[in-house]
Amino acid sequence: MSQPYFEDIDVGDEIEGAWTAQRAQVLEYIALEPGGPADDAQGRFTDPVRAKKLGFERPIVPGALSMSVLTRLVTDWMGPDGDLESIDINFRRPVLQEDELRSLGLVIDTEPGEDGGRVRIDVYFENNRGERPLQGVAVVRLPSREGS
Amino acid sequence: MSDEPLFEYDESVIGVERDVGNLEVTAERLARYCEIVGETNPRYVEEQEAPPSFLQRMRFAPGPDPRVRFGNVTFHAGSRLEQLLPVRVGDVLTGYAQAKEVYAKTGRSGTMVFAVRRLTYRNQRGEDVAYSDQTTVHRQVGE
Repeated sequence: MSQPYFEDIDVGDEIEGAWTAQRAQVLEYIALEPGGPADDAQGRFTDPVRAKKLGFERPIVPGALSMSVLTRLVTDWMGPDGDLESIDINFRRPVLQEDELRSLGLVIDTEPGEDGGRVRIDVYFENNRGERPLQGVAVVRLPSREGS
Repeated sequence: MSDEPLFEYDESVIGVERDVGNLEVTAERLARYCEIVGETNPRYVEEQEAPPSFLQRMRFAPGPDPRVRFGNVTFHAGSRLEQLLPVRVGDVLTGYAQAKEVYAKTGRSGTMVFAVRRLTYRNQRGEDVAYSDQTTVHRQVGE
């Protein structure tokens, strides 16, 4: 894993990844903490019949899992010496299981500081229907090349 | 006379923080999480630091509920995570939950009522390590 430095980052830089929201991954994620935040009392994550009754073509992905994968786009990029300071995500549409998603980041602002600098990144998923089910902003601190 | 739809909620819980339990970050739990989510950053997969999103997968007891009474549909609209300090294997995190605010917005698609809940993660040294804000929306769909 390479380490990006603050001096090397420009507004307009892009980050890109891909994710297929597979059912097996959803089931493993839910099983991590039974009864936890992704608990599925309504069946929308696990039961195709009940999901359809709720208006979903297929079972959907827990928002926390989708957010984790979109967060990973940033933490993979920032390297071992970067720090994710915050991430703010809006859930605009459900992610359906087996959706093929592009995860995208666009640097929108940079601000130097004594400890390197802060980078603001627009992040979102785009599905194969042209929709953006998750969209938000991440703030990352990157180290300075001089301080390394 | 206002045309604003009325909504009700329990104002007495707003801003009141409640201890919702504690959890230890174990190596096993962290490794399993990283495997499922596909983490690759070595600070998470080799150096036993928890990725920020790991915190949102921890299960605590329910926090104060503002019991919003409005509309017929509720959905999860947003999530914000702010990390203040690293979290590592062996840390014991206590969750402090509060209902932060309830407010309404009216736009072209009608009125929506937003409820924001905050979970503060505090470590065994009494340091706040992260805040997680979850926003739910209540709205009326159909008649």
